[in-house]
Amino acid sequence: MTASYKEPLIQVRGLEKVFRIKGGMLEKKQNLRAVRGVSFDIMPQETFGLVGESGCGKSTTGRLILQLLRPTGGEVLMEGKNLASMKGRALKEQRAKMQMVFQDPYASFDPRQNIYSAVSEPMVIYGLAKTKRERREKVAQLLADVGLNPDAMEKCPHEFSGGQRQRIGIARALALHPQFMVLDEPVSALDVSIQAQVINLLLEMKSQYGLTYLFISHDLSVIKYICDRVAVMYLGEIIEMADKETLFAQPLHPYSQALLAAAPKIGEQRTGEVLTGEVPSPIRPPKGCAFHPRCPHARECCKQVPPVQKLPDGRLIACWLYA
Amino acid sequence: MNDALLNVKDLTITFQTERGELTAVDHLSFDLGRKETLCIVGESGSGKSVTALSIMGLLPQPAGRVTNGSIRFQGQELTGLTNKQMQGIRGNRISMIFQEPMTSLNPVYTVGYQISEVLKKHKGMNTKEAMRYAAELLERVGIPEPGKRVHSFPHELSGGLRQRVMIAMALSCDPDILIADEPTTALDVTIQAQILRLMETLKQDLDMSIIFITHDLGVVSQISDRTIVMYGGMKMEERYADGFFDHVQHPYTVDLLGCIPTSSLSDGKLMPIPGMIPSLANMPGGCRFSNRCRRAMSACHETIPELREIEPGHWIACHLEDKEAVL
Repeated sequence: MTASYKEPLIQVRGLEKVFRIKGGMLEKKQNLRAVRGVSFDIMPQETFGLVGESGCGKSTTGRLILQLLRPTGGEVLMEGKNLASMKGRALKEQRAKMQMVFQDPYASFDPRQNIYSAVSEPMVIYGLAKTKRERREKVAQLLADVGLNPDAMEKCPHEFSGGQRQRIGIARALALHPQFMVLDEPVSALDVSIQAQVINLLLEMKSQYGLTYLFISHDLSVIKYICDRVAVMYLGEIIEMADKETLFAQPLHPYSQALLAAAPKIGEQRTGEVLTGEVPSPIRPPKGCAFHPRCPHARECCKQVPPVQKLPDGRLIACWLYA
Repeated sequence: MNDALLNVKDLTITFQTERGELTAVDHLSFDLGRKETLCIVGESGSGKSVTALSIMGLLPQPAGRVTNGSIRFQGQELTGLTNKQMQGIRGNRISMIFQEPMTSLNPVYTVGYQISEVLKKHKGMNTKEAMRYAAELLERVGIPEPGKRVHSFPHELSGGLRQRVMIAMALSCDPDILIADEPTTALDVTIQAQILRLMETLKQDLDMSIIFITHDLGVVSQISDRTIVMYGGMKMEERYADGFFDHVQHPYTVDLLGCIPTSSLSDGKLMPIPGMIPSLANMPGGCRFSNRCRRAMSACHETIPELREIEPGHWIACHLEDKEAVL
């Protein structure tokens, strides 16, 4: 566990992202508020999980932190420096310290670029290994670290299976020795037997390189396996955030409870109530607590925004039930 | 013993490719009883989807064909039927829903129109009757405001609603069998729970049998009456009895469970299965799982193990069950 006196590596403060989207013909442009005031800290060498259903803003949050998308509000601090206000050279330098692994290992490679070229490209851009020979050695080392034969260098992405391609994606992300990695659904596209291999690899790389992860997933069992702390998102907001043990042992927010109950568990018949309705549109989110139209405990006060408060066990929760 | 609705026997499906003829499904046999939910579980390339397509007579043409075995539906052989004969059964007696409803729906027609097409074809309804019945079907699958939704286009609906539309369409002729190929894989968990519950209710109400194809063992736990585990085109394990997950025997199924982060808090370390899923062109000799199996013996690399009943209602295909091979 990380010592308590350490400063957080990543601090996210009131992060906002509004997309302007086209309506139909003759309709005005509309605002889609994908991320609505998200705040959290990630401690060095921690694995912080973001979990939620499609459209909850978890992937957007990951991209905002890396400045792949520019936030429309709020701050992202890495080692105390605000990334959201950085530009040009300063941002480029900072970016070398943070990398991303994407969900789809088929889409995140150029099909005509061989593996050597794909993995060494970041080193060329950052002038990390000067000669071709150094780069080849470095790439061979990275491929060996992720469990691939260095012969892979000469091959093209289509010659690999999904699991191997994800390994290459991890090798590429490691090329610049980052401190921080955003893993956006890194195992969701893989078969179960391959998924386990990649999860274990991510854990090994974390201890070998001393990495800090932001792990984004819709899969609660994977989140529970890999993360130290977890934030549950719904419609662009964090509704509950706690240590993994606390959250999974006793989720408090009605949405966290529903999400945990809905995930099918091996060896168990279905129990409990099924959540009705669907996630509302982020263009017109419900007033007050975004979850109230589907919440079995909704009361009149839920039409006002619930207070975010810290409970004695250290978790954050945004729900009137605990106010 | 033939009260089963569907009997599949020694089914072998091959595909003609540039690399020669590849066997996607190899001597697969199973029965589906009335009002039974059969789950076929497997990873990519296990042959589970191809099996479903062959029952529907929808194998990609001309590459794919059934080269051996039979598929009998209520005693009638389906493998030799012409496309015309098959149309009387497909969508009428046996229906299918797919993983991604957006690709199965036509984007330029309203959902009501698409459902009514089926009704006009198979039930001889006129347009007005068909549209009215389409709205009733939408109501039955739990779509709010069905009278309005019949006029919606697929893109106006969410993923969960689209899958409900597909189910409504599949149910329009009260089929005896509903084949569902990963119907909830593209959906969020809370929506998945709704769709699984809907299918369960409809199965009870309509006396249907369901063949549910999935890679998700959690889903299997919830809905399955009979479970078949496939790997490399062959059946590895089958159990027709409760408590499949408490009794798994085949090394592949056991190892597969070891790959899944459990939902209990006392998380053990994940135990990945080494190696990769072999491609159809490079299947190992003997047992298909032999090159990744921790417990493989010499016999495993040489001969394909027979399916044996290890306890009533539970079969596995593994040499470890064969006392002579172990010795």
